[in-house]
Amino acid sequence: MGRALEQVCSHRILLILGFVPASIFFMAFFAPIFNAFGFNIGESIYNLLSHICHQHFERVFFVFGHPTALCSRCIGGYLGVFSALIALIFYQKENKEAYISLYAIGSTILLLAIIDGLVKFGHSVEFRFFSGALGGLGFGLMGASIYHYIKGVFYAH
Amino acid sequence: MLIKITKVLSFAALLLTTTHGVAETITLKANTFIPVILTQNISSENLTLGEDVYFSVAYDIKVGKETVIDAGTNVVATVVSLEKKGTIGAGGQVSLTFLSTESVDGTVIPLRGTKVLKGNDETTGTVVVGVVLCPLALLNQGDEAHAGQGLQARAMVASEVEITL
Repeated sequence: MGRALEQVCSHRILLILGFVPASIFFMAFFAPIFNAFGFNIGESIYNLLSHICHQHFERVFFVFGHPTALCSRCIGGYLGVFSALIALIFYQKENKEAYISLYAIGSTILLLAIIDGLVKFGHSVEFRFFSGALGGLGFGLMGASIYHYIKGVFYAH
Repeated sequence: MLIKITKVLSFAALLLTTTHGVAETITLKANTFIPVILTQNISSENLTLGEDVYFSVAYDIKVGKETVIDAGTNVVATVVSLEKKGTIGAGGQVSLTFLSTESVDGTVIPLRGTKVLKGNDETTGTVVVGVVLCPLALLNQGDEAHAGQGLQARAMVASEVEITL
């Protein structure tokens, strides 16, 4: 427990970076919940997130009969980024090559998601969520690998 | 003989009540989500304050298994705030507030919710160009706020409504 906390504290930047997608992810679900219970703040969240997502009815999840404030692909994407950043707080390797490999894996996964976005292999909400999650995971892995690599370079000197 | 007639009559009465059914009252709760789609092209330049704008319900709204609002039912919204595009790059802006729609039995359902349309604002660029290069650039106008058919918006039921099916 103490070691886990130590790792979290030593990667504050990753934690702060992870906080952004996590907040957006949770806001997407809070908006329909607030709206369902008649709180006006729900509309404010919808308006805020409308700048980053189209929010089309046919591409969103429904919570209490209200649409989420982000489409399923975006929700997957933010969840993927958050998961990758958090996972890499606890994944630490001495050799920098491990992070280069991880970067390669991340970019491949992201490429797959981009291809799906362009070609549209599937149209269901669940498929879009899965595709978005892949993209987010790939993007997060790339970002966190770069962070670890740079930190490793500075730490070595 | 009398018993037989009574039995036939009661059976007939039973049949009548089951085939015609009893009118069922369904409650459409406040804050129920109503997805709406714009059915006309609108622009901040040709709207007036208080003018009605028409949307339609995107898909059937159900309570349990019963449809209470059919897809395609008209939704009335009104222009509550309007700013036309202007000089110094000011963009247009239109605020619409949803008023009402109708249930399958004709009951008027009060709605709430707003949709704001904003035109591209070019104020910063216009002021910079106007001050640095040429004052005539200050005559530049921003873009009108406009939307075409198919624009999606969110409306909600404003208060609880009893619907008879």
